[in-house]
Amino acid sequence: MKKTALYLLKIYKIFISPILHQALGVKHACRYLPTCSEFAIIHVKKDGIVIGGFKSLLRVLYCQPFAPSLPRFLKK
Amino acid sequence: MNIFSIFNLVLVHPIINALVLIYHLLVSLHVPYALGFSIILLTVIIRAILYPLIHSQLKTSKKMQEITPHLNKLKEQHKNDAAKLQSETMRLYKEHGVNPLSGCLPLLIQLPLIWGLYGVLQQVVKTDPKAVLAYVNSALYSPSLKLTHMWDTSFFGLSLGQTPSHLLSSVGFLILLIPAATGIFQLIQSKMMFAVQEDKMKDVEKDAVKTKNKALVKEVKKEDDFATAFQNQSLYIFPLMIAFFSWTLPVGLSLYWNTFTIFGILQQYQISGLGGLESWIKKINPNR
Repeated sequence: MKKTALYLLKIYKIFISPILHQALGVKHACRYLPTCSEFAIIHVKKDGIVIGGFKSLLRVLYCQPFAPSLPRFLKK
Repeated sequence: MNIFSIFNLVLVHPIINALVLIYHLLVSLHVPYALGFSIILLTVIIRAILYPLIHSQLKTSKKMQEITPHLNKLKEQHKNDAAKLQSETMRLYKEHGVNPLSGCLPLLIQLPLIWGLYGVLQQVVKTDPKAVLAYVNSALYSPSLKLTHMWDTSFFGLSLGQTPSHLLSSVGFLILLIPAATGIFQLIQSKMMFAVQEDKMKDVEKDAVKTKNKALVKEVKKEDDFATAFQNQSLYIFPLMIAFFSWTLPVGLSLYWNTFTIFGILQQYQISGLGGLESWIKKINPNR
């Protein structure tokens, strides 16, 4: 299960993300480093699908101009 | 109420109403090919609504590209000290007047809108009059907007509801110009936003080699993995995909996507000029 999730994340990062960038017409969109997909790969590996996935989802929700500064546990 | 009815209520129905309103307006002005021009006008209006979202993103993106070499140097200098790297990065941003990017969520708002417009257009360019009238009239807010008879789906001699693959036998090879133009416009937009980054990376690499910074050379080379390779290839893959879709989908949808892309090209040009396209133009015309 965890392996599948990691594969899907990698497929997103390598294949879907560049296509999405082109469809939206913007090259850079990531507000934080590591990018959310990299963050998700690291944390699904470390904390599992549920906690790692939840953290990643939270991080994506922080990726907008009105968000407060990123909490420590979502930084890297 | 399921997710589809919410999607219809919030996005699809307003889009249909806007399209019909523009259509009635153009018909009252006796504009020929009113449906085709309504599609163009509606796409331009939607792109104009999205304009500020993309504008700030493109502006920051341009500045980010300019400071990428400095950023890479900083990364190398402070690779073992994350706090220092963070503060130095912030200082660099401040020095160059870069605000952090507004993030991906404002951009992702576009996706349902693009999808909604695509869904509506796919229905309204259909050639079966009964189905189109029933679909459109059921979504209208005011009875005065109702369509009493089927709209004319032709646009400069082409039926907006037919696909180029079907029109090949009646129109001939000239119809290939539609998917070709759709692919080429997409390629131009992608190239404008893509290759500048690529060239900057080469600059960093050259710089690193010159200063004999082995660690930086290694880091830059590491970037050259499969993901980067695909990212560079996607410059051609995405336009090819779009050209293929344009070949298999009704002409009306190509009209929409081309209007959408041309608007994007103009917006990109306004902010960052020709971008990556400049290297191609130089190849074609070295005296430029």
